[in-house]
Formats: sequence, C-alpha cells, structure tokens
Amino acid sequence: MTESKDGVSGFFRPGEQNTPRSLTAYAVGALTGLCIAGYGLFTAAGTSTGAIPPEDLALVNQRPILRSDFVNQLESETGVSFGQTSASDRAHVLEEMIREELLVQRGLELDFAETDQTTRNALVSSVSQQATVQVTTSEPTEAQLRAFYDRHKDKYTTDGVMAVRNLFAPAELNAAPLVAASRLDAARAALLAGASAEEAMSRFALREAQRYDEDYYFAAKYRLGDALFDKVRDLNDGEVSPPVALPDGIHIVLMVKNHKPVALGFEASRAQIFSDYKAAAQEDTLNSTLAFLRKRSTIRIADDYAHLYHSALPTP
Amino acid sequence: MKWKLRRRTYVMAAVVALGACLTAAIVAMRDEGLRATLLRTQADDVASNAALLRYALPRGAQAYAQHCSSCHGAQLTGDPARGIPDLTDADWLYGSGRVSEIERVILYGIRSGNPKGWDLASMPGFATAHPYAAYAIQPLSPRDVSDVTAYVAAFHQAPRDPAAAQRGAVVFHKNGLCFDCHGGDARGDPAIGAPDLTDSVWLYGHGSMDDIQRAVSHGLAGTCPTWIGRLDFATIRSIALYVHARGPRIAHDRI
Repeated sequence: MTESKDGVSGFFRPGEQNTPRSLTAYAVGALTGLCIAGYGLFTAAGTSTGAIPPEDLALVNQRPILRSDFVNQLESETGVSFGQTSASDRAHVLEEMIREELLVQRGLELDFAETDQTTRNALVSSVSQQATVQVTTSEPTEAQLRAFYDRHKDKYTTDGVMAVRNLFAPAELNAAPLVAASRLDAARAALLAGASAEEAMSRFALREAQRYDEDYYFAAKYRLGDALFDKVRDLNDGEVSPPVALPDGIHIVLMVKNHKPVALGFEASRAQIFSDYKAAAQEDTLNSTLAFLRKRSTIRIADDYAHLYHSALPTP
Repeated sequence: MKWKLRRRTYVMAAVVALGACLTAAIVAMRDEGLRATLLRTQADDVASNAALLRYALPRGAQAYAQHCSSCHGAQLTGDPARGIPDLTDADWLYGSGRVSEIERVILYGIRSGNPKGWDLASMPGFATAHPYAAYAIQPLSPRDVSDVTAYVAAFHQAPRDPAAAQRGAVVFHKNGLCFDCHGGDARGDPAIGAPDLTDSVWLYGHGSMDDIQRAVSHGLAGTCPTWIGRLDFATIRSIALYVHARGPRIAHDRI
C-alpha cells in the first residue's frame, strides 16, 4: 500500500484505482452474504439443526416435542401441577413422549393409513376438522348472521309442544273396514261433543296407542308417524283429527294441548343462528374441499357402478 | 490536507456504522436471549420473573389487541350475548387460570378442529331429536326441561315452583345426565369446561329462566381458534401472560 506525499494511504482514496481496497470490499461483502445466508439456513423453520428451538424440549428426527405439550401430558399423568412433579416423573413422561413419536414415525413408514381402519377414521375426522377450522373458529359478522336469519326465518321459533290421545281401531279386528270407519266417525263426533277419551274407547271399542305426556313436535312426530302427525299438527286444543287409515288400524287423534311454535326474533335466536350459520358454513367448506380433491384426483369406477356413483355425487 | 479530512470522514462513518451494527446486534441478541429464556422457562414460573414480564407483557398486549380483542373485547370482559367469557373474573371454564392452562387454550383452541384442543364435551340440546352429536342421548320431555331449568335457577333465587325444582333435581341426577359433566353438586368440572351452575357467573346470558331453558333446550358449544402455526410461540406465551396479568390474583399465583 503506497502513501502519497500528503501522507494519505492510497487505500483511502476513493478516486484512485486500488486493488487491495477492491479485494477487501469484496471480502467484506462475501462474508456479510455468507453470514446472512448461514443465519437464514440454520434458523429457518424445518431446518435440520443440532440446536433445539427454545419452545421445544426435544427433536426426534427433527420432529419437535413442545415444552407446552410435555407440561400438559406430565400434569395429566401425575394429576399435580408441574412444580410438584419429581425429576423421575419428568424423565418418565419425556421418555414416553419420545417413544410415542418414534412409534408414530414408524407407523408412517409402515403406511398404516392404508391398512388400519382406526387410523383411517382418525385421519378422516382430523382432516375434516382441519378443512373447516377457519369456519369453526371465525366470528361471523352481524350482517352475515342477519342475512342467514332472513333466509331461514321459519326455523327460528319456540319449540312446538303437544299432548295427544291417539285412539285406534286395530286392523285385525276390522273385518269390515267401512263399519270400522263409521265407528271412528261416531267416536270422533262423541269426542268433539265433549266425551272423554276413556268414554270413547269404551263405547266404540277403541284402543289407545301408548300414552305419553306432552311432547316436543319432533317426539310427537316420531311417536305418531309422519302421516298422522301431518294431520294433527294444526289442530287446536280439543279438536279431533279425521280417521286416518294406517297399517295397524284406523286412528283418530284427540288434541289435548297444542302449543304451536311461535316465530322468534333475531336477538332471541342469536345463539341458535350462530351455531346454525357455522354448521352450514362448515358443510359448504367441506364440500368445497371435497370438490377440489375430486377435481385433482383420478377416480375410475367400474362400469357396473359408474352410473350409481355419478348419480350420488353432490350437485355443485 | 484534503485527503486527511476525507480519511477522517470515512473512518468516522465506518466507526458510526460499525457502532450501529454492533448496537443492533447486541439488542437483537438480548431480545433473542429473552425470547429463548421466556420459552424455556416453565410457563407458570414466568409470572414471577420481572425481566421476562417486562419483555412479554407489551408484546402480549399488542398481540391480544390484534388477534383476540375482536371477540373478548379490548377490556377482556367478553360478551354474554355471544357466550364469550370474561377473562378478568376468577371463573375459569378450562383449568384454574394458570399461565400454562391459558397458553394451552391459545395454542390449540376450544372445539377448534385441532386434535389437541379442548373438545371433550359440549352442552347437549335436550329439546332436539338428537341432543348430542358425539353419542346417543335421549331427548327430554318439555316438562323435564322446564323442571331442570327450575332446579338450576333455584341455586340463585327462591324457586317459584318448589315442586318443579324438586322434580328437576331428579332429572339433573338421572335421565338428564346433567351430573355427568356438571357434577353431582352442579359445581362444574374445569377438566372438561363444564361450568359451575351454582355461582353467579354466566357464560351465556345472565342466568334468567329463559337463558337457562334456552341452553338446556338447544345446547351450547362455544369455540376458540387454534393459534399454533399462526403465531410464534413467544407471542402465544406473551398473550397468555398478558391475559393472566389482567385477571384476578388466584391462590396458585407465585407473585
């Protein structure tokens, strides 16, 4: 390195060409680049490294065992808080977690997802939940909830409750169905005129299906059957259904009490709207995920089942 | 003379730049050191470490405002209309309010779809054909629902219909299966997030007969998102510490 008359080294003269200075600048640049690259390489997530990240307690083939999971498992197994556990408890649980991780990794190598039904069920459940996780935990806006309520207003009502007496002329005793029908017409008229169910049963030789206290509509529908329920749901207290022929006989139903569902406003139904909205959004999301998976997959169906399969696919 | 001046300028600039780099590196290393210590320290012990709290609480407050306040509110007081719990009271649905327990909720959520999240039980809807999704439970009759509502309400006020409350006790302990989650004494079970029905803290509504009947009839299943993978671990722990610090002091606290 030369020094000029004014005592300034050539190294510090930017206006002059200087090989050592250039080389030094290159070296500094290269070192800086290497440092940045090295830092990025050895600290990025998923990097294979000997260092254990501070949030982890162990790495098993680079798969982390979180400290938080360890504490949770330790407390679950011992039934006491972390501070009260002994060193041997901790060692035991850590070893258990490592063993579990090793076996899980071995299970993946053996591809149990292909052969073990329990594993497959767990995967289906986990992936379905994962697919809808955003919907499950997101908070719908007020406008979204109100729009949903407006679209499904008929669902948001008080619970319909009814108490009925279900009387019938058994099929096996009805040699002449027309006679039985006229008997039930007469029984209906008597009930409407104020006769009690017991009187009607005794006078017209009717039986009563099992008697229940008042029921929610869904339970009444289950007990009466769809056909009979449709005939009685709009009856008022004290009214009697027309005779309805069913396989087990001809029925008439006395409506003892019918608290019909009353429409509920948005605020009163908020919690229900919220959960229904989420359920609908989860279903939509899962269907979209399945549509995407179908689209990117090659699914070939044998000729004799192809038509069946395609007819069962959900419409987009 | 001119070159001497320039040389001094260069040297000064280089020294200043080096100093700035060193300072930044020292700050970053100190920050990284605190972050690592925060994560390596057992969560429940951090609350007694002033240096770690100084590091974590401002970060926790910032992250809480960004990610949690839209549901739990800026003051952490929740919203009973939406079943969002008040984080400032002493009533913890899951666990007893330790930092590690709060952290677990933030990490994995509640009914979040994460297999490690809290999802052991939900409140069945007993006035529906299929009260519970996970396994078969029989619906209750309207009278049973009304009676068990009277029984629960009787923990808080003299019953209007004592006979109904007595019948409700039978429903609670027998066919309603309520005891299974809420316990025979109705004081709940923090291991599964079943609330204490005898205290004055209500998650949904304010404990009116209508609120209770609605819960019994249609069920409840609140959710909290999982944040693992979306926030880094230090941020999650910082939020847990912030929430813990804003809550009441509980006997197990070490500060």
